[in-house]
Amino acid sequence: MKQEDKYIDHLFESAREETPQISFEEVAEVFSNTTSPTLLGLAKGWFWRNINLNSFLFISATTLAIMSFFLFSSSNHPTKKTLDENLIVTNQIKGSSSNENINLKTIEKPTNILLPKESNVSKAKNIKTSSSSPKPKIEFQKINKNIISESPILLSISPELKLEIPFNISLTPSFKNIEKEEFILNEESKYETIEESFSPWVVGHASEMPWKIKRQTKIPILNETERVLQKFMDTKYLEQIFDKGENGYFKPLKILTYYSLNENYFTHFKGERIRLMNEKISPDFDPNEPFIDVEKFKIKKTKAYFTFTYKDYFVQMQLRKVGEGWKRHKLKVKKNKEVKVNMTF
Amino acid sequence: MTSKKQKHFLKLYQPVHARFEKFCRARTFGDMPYEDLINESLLIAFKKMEEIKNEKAFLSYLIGISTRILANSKRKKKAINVAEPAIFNQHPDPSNFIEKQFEIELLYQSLAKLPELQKEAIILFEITGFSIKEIMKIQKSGESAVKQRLARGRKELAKIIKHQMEFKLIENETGR
Repeated sequence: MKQEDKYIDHLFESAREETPQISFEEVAEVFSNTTSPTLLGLAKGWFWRNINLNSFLFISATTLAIMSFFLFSSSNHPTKKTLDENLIVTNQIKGSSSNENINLKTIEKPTNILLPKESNVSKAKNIKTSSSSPKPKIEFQKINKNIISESPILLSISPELKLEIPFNISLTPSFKNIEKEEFILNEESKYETIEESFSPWVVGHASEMPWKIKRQTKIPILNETERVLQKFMDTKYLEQIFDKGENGYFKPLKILTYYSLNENYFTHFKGERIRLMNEKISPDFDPNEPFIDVEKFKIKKTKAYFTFTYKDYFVQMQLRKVGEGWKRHKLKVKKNKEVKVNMTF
Repeated sequence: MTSKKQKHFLKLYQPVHARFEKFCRARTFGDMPYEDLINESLLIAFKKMEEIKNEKAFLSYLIGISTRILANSKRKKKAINVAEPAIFNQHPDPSNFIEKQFEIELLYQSLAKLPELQKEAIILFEITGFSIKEIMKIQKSGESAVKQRLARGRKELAKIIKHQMEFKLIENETGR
């Protein structure tokens, strides 16, 4: 063997015998530090181990469902039904702005002085029974004209004569027309109100002329929420609660809804439109005037709840759905924590 | 789960650490810090631990990984056209080491000048202690090819060392 080879062998031997410059512990430490999982790494690992496409889809669907539920529940109104209602409401706004649907008719009726003419009344009754033909309408219009143009004697005609057919009946109605007409008749007749109150000329004085004003209010077709609210507001007992003005009329009512009702909903109390306001910051809101402070307004499938405070009064009302309409179910009124009324109908 | 895997991996690595470290030191001379090569190889081996079929061949598995890492790093260096740093400048002056360490350092310096496959075969055979059959598997070459690489490598290495020694002697005589 050559000397060079010997030297190389010697070099290799010394290289083999050499102790490692880095100990195993050092390498192990570095290795452990780099490979030990962080919290994020653990989460990532768990995610990739356990989450497959199906579970990912399931999670995303569930999240969407929860989010949509919260979104809809946080909004003021119920879902599909509300959209329909809003559509109706916007239609009503258009209608009411032009004052087409609300007809206020005033007929002054002397109760004692003038006697009703029997003939006219009977005529009117006849007209009512034969309302399917257009003829009676013409007669009725004639009578009305007479009332306006002639002396108060003609005012003796009872308001019952004010039979007005709100649509034109075609002479040869199709089946569809009949259905539609019946529907409109029902709707309008339901929400037509006649209010009677003292004539402003006798307010605060001994009534020498006991005239009374009869006002007829026609309300446009209402949506469900409006109907329910109207039903609540039609409660007789509320007349004892709400303030009256000097003229004997009820003061204009305002309802602070806190977004539980649409501001554009139409509702009235004794023929006076009630102003709905969402917030106190509304320019029409005057905190010094009494107002209906809504605490709860909720319509469920078969029950409706309306709780509010008015001055010192605390009113709880409940309606129950019977068929397609709503029936009064409960009424509880407290004044300064003292129960005034507690009724179940 | 991960800590168990870690422990198992380190258990496998512990007996081969010294050999692997030597291989890395000899193999990376002038290319990259050998500590980095060790760590990188271990990380890759740990990630692909499931691929290990025979735990007895763990060292050759590690060497295979480190060889690929080195080859990749060299390819990248060529692509970027970074000037190769001078081999000797990367290490401290050998005169600071004791005699043995100086010799070893000289050996590694000389080995670094050999062609890749020759260098690898010599390191595996002479320093790491692999048999020719094992080197055949690692290098995926035939027996004669490995033997040839070893023989030629040794010859070349002798020349380089001789040249280096002469250079050092001249250096000492001139007092540079």
